[in-house]
Amino acid sequence: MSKSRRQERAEEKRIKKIEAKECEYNLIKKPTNVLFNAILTVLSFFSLIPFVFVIIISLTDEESLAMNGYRFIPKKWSLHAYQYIVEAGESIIRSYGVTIFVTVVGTLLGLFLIGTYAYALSRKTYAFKSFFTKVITIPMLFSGGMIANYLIITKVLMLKDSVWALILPLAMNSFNVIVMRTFFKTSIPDSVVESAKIDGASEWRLFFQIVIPMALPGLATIGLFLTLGYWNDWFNAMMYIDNQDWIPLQYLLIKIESSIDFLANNKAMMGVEGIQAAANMPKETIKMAIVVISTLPIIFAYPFFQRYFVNGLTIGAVKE
Amino acid sequence: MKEKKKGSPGKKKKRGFLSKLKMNKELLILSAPGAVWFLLFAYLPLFGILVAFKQYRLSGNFFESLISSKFVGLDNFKFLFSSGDAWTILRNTVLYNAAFIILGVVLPVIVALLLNELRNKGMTKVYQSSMFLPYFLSWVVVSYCVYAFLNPEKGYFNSIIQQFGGDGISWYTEKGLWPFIIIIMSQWKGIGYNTVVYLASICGINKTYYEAAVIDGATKWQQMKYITLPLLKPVITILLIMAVGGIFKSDFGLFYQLPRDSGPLYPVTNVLDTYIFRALQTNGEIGMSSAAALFQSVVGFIMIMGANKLVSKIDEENALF
Amino acid sequence: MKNGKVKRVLAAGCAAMMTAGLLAGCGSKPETNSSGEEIVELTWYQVGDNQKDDELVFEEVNKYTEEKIGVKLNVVKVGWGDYNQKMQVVINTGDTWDMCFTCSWTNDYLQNTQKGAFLALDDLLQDQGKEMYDQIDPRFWEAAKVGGEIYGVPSEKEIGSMPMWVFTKEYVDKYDIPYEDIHTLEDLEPWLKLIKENEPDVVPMYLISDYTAPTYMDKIQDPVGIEYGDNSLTVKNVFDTEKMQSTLDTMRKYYEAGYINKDAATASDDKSVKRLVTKGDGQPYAELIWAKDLGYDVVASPIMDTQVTNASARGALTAINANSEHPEKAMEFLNLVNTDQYLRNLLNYGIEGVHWEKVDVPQEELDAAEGKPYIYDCKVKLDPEKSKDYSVPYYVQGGLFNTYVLENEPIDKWATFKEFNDEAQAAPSFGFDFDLTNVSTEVAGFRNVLDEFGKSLYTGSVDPEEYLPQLETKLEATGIDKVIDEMQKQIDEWKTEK
Repeated sequence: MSKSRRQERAEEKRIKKIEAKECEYNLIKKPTNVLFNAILTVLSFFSLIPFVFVIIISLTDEESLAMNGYRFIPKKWSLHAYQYIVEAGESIIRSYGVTIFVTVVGTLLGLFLIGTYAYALSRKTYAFKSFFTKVITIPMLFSGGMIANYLIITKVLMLKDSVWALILPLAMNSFNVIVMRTFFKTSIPDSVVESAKIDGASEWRLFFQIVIPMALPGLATIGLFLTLGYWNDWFNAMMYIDNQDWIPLQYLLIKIESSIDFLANNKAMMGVEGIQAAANMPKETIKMAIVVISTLPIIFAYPFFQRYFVNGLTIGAVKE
Repeated sequence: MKEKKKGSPGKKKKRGFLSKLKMNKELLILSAPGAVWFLLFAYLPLFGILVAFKQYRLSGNFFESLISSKFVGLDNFKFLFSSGDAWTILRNTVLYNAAFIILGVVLPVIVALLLNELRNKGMTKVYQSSMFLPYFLSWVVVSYCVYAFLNPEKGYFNSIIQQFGGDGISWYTEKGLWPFIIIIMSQWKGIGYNTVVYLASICGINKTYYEAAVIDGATKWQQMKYITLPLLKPVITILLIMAVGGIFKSDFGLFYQLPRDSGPLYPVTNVLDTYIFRALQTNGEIGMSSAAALFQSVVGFIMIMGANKLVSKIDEENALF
Repeated sequence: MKNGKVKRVLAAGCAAMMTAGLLAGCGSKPETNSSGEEIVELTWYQVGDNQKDDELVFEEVNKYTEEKIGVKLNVVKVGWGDYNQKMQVVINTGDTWDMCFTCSWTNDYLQNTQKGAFLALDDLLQDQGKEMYDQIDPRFWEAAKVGGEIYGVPSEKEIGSMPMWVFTKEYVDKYDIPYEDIHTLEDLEPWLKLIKENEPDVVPMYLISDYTAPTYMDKIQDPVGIEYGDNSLTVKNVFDTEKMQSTLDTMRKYYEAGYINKDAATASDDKSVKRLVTKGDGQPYAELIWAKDLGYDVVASPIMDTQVTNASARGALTAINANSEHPEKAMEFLNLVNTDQYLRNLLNYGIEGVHWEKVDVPQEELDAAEGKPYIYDCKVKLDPEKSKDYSVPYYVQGGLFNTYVLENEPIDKWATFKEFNDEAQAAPSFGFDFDLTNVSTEVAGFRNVLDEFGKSLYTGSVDPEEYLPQLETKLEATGIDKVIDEMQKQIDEWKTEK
């Protein structure tokens, strides 16, 4: 068995080699490649700096930060911020769990809702296409506002203090539906749909077995947008969640940021009480450490989506 | 169920409608979950718009209050135009957004094309991931980092300038610089995110087109010009139409946190959203905040309709509806 | 067939809802305490961050209040920065709540009252709240009145704001600066000059972006108000007053002389900057808090006599929802918080024996304080570790004067506060509330203009000769004259009624 396996692998390699050679014909010239790389390196460098900066600050000694401000090379390093987080442990780990749960469930639900809706819209023969497009255009611009939303979610849908208040409001939006519709329109040739229909395939089979595999780059994009949306969301938590057990990570962070901001701006009104309250807030380095730990997992999750939309990594998936 | 209501008048029409329903049954069912979502989370709250025309005062629950509050017509909208700066603010909002809309298409498309053509695919991943990082930092954190460079007393930039015998720049009062800083920072933060759509679109392009082109002896440049860009057009068009709808809205943090709310910069940093924020701090009238949002939406709606009409005249296939 | 499906879904939905209803029904079976009294749950919104031991403490609190008055609390804490927005939504949607924290600097007391959010308390105060009503300084009740009725229970603390010059003790000692004689902005000049000449790496006057130049006016609706001491009650724009104009000129002079840090208008407090003097808003014993914050000793001197204004006396209140189902219980509870030592200290410091311990007061200290009000026979020693898990802003839950003092504080701390309050004089405009309904459009424009020019002018960063007229022009364009007229009209009415 292992022998045939090895053979298989060798065969695979051979094919890949041929493919690579074939591709060689359609590659940019080496000097152009160098130029492109140079441009992208510069861009990446500037994108990386602030994040590296944040990591450095999270590793700076609190006192040295107060004395010297933000420095790339701090006078004194310290792991204190991370120690604090480890000690505060429980609540942060729990929040991590909430965020991950909300992100995973929300993304899957969102993909289902957006995928089905957008697919129907993308079908030329759909008689209600224009009606359902109009249905999503209005909410793209008009919203009832914070107070009306709060009323519907807490009083009508009864979602206060429920994890669904973190999931449902973000599951769909007009922007994603329209982008997804465009992906379906451009990546699925009409001929494929027609021939499947002639073969007697139901819409379900067509959608789940033929269309979805072909639209993977698009689905991955929307999936990524949803994931990011859920991961970064704090507003719904602020509005609808009073129970400390269901606070997502991002709101922990934003709460600290906005509290520090508020206390700094209202010193005149609050007098020394503001100073006392500020003294109880986590310090700058801890804040940065939370930024780091709240961003890392999503950075690691990123390649999962990336392989679907970086050309060359997904030839197999798309060719199918 | 909802559609049934639509087709009530006329028996003949009704039958037509019913058969239409029947014929589209499967697709209708596919649309249903999404439609329910929109009904619950987008349409039900829309009654909140009424607050914009009321001087909202409390008496009992929200609906009782809404009904008993005084109707004030368009009074709640007045504050948007009452200041002497209304013109500057609208100008800033529109001009920045125009720049963002254009750059928000041009730069990501270029980057996506570059990434796509790299010979060393391994690096593509690295570049793309790093460019995504700024998206994760909130404007508050970014503003702290930027302050480390621009701080007039201790910042990196001024230390460098002073080392070369210069005088140092008072960055947070020098309003000539800020349009550039704001535009650069906004693109810096968004480029990774915006590139993804285009990358995925390129990825979704059928490879046989390129194979055929290579056989015909097309150069890389020609392939890009005649295959990639035309096939990106639908996505670009649709994103442009939607972006135009946000012409009166802006990213609050970019204009408030990043310039550290510095007064002397207001002539170039005050946009509609920051103006509204400051205005409503003093009186907390929810009618006024609804009015402001409604105003932004109505303008956005007009813009989108206009853009859509324009697009559908040129190229109906790519229009929004 | 489709119809059948819909029906089935509906039926399932109904079943689910009914089950939920039944469950809820089971849960709300009335609980009673040992005296057979039905226990009522009160929802209480507070500003501040959640504490690790909140649950523990409130369990203890509930145990006590359930027995005592049949009340159990559901406390919802909302972070400092989010409180205002969240309360706006909670209040305006008519959500269910019973009590909330309100004041002049977040979840605005006056606005909410004028919009009808809060219950008028006068009757309840004569009944369930009588004990507390008699105990709290009448001037706090005076300040809590809007249109003649009281809508919030004040937390008794310092009644006036006291702007002070805060000096670094090191330089005061070194140069023998008679700080106690320094009051006005102009008094500072020779010493700023001295420091500038002799201490090159010290900023003589360190200012940050939230600095406001000394203002001798009650800015009822910034920048419009009544000057301190103006008993004729003439409404003015603060930037039109001679006092402010000369202050701004002096600030500019100091800035140009290099006494003030160059980045004052945008700086946030950088504690590593050595400074001679800065401005702070104080209260008795504020020096201790500033010193702890800065990490070195400071001394302070008041800039002007303490003035009591509506804003300063409304530093902290607790209001009851106009739609609360249990207003009497809420009042009974607030009365208990403000009169019951055990409950008050439990809320304030946490559980005795866990978060803090009682320590004895030295006899001589007690003797010296004899006859003064608010003296207790014990002090509080916080547990250095556990107290971090329950650290709350003291004034949010009730008055300060019936809390024990900390072991490093003088036993007569609250007596000193009381003295301070008694000495503070009421500003002429004290008690007047501006109803901005008629001019809300105009007022909305103010903040933008003030933020644009205020910080730069106050810190002297720009020339008032050039920028003050610009500010004035913009304020006029926003309609400041209309606001002044409206306020004058209202204040004249108020004066005749008074």
